[in-house]
Amino acid sequence: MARSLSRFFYRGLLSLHPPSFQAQFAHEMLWIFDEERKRRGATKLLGDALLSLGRQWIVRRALQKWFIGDFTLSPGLSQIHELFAWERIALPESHLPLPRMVQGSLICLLFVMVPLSVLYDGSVRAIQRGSVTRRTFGHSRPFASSGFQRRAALSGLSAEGSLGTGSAFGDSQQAMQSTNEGLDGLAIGSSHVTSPDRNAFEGVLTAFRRHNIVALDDPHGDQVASEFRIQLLHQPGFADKVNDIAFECGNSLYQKVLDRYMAGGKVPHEEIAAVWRNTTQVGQCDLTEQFYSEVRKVNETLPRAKRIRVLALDPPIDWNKVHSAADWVRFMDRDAFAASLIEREVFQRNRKMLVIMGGMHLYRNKHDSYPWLTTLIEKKHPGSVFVIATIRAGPLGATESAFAELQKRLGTSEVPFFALFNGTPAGSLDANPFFQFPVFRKVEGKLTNVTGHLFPGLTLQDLADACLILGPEKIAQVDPKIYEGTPYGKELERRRRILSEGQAGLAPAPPPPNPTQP
Amino acid sequence: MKQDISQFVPLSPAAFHILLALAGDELHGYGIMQEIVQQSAGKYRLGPGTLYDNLQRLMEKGLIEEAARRSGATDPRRRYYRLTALGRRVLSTEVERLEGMLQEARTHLRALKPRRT
Repeated sequence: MARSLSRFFYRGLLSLHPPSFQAQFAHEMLWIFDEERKRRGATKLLGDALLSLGRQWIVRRALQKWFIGDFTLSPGLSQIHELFAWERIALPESHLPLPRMVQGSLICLLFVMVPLSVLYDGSVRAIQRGSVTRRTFGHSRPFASSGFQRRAALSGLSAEGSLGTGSAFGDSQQAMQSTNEGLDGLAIGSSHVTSPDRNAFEGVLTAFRRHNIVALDDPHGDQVASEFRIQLLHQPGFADKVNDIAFECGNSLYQKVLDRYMAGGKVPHEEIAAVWRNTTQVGQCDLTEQFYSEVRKVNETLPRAKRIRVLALDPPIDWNKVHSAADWVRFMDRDAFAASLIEREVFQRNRKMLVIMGGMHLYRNKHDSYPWLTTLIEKKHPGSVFVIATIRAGPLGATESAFAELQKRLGTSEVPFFALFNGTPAGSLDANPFFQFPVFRKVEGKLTNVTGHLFPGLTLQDLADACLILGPEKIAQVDPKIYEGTPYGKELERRRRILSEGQAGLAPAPPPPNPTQP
Repeated sequence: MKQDISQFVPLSPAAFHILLALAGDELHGYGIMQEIVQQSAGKYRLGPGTLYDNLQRLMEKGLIEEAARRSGATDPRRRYYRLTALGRRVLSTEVERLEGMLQEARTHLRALKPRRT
């Protein structure tokens, strides 16, 4: 109700702008209002429209007329150019027509309603903080009626407080967290609300405007993240913005096979499956097949020059030649390999690349001496990577309380949702409770579980530029039993044995022993 | 005939940010707002009223213009804007002016630093 009321007022304010301004901008302003109201509440937007109204009529129109000598008392001209009713004061012989009276009444009403709504919002915020007390004969107790709070929440009124006083919202503490750049506009009078999905997809794609590399954290084995990536592929304009996708779940030894597959060639399943089955990690890439298959489908719809190339990011390990941990460790400089591939494919060819890799490779962890991928790239090309952390609630993701706090700070519980971190309240949250996957590090010669303490003293904005918030994790892995007794099953067992020996020898940051780790 | 650029500078912060946002690409109104947020790392935000008021003024002055409608655009009502050649020259002049001011400010700050004896 209050939402539609605020929208009604906003439309009212727009309709009071000069007709030429309305005709040019009102539709788009209302669209922006619909989008932004969800993020920051209606009060600031109403205030902004009110200031715009004042500028348009008083500063622009009135002063222009004054300075060009058009401020005439001629009744004929004033009927054409009249501004507010004050012109009528100078023209006592003319009558104020009914529409102008209605317009005047509306303006008066708005001047009263907007400050009132500001006061109301301020009260709601204060009550939500529990800071308002009701004094009764010297006693005070918290005035926190749950019914009132609930109504305030349902009303959609902003809890952010005061009306913006400048010409911009530059002093606001709550930074814009959404990038809905490509969202559909809304018709005046439409009650349609844009799907949150669009926000997330547009968020990721918008990042390509300023960055050649957008790195999306892949929580291995998470079906929800996998489905998001597939939907991202199918977004209109994806192929216009992205040239290459570099995926951790791909053995570069088979790059030619992968190229042939992506170009629509006939490739036997066993041959293409080697791309994700034979990586240096074991059991992390079960969800890869579907993604590769979807890229191939997208490519079928694109002209040759626009086809998306998929690059295998994992070192070219040949498992036929790996017989011991020492053989395997030779291929474990995975970040250096990925960095050199990206240097060649992105910077030397000026391409746009979506990198999909486990978060540990991507986060900017300044306390970690290990040269992870983003560190390596940005050493040579500072600020070239836009890192998107994938955040979801669940045993391997964020703790419930951390997740709830993040959603509270973002002002939304919609998923999927894209939000920028830099300078925002969400970005200032402690990073550790958001990453609960088991990680072991070698500390004083011993493998130690450092789960939940990976980023000492670091906030989310230290690690990444933005986040993608997904629904609860849904781990989907192929049951190893289906391979039992098969040659591939025996090979997997052999690789696991080699990995467990190899991990014990790695330092200081071994790859995680659990398949759900990055 | 070349226009006198000096009449356009200094630019207001809002106008400067809008021109800067459009320096890279054609954008629609909401895109400009998003770009400004990114450019300023979330520290400067325009409301839609302020944005369109400035867009109108900048168009009147010939610093920006409406770009052609995009075929296949999801919403035909969405308008895209771009810098004109004049707008680009004004932006460059303003950037040079700001650079000069910054240099001057730094020189003064250095001069004001207490000297160790």
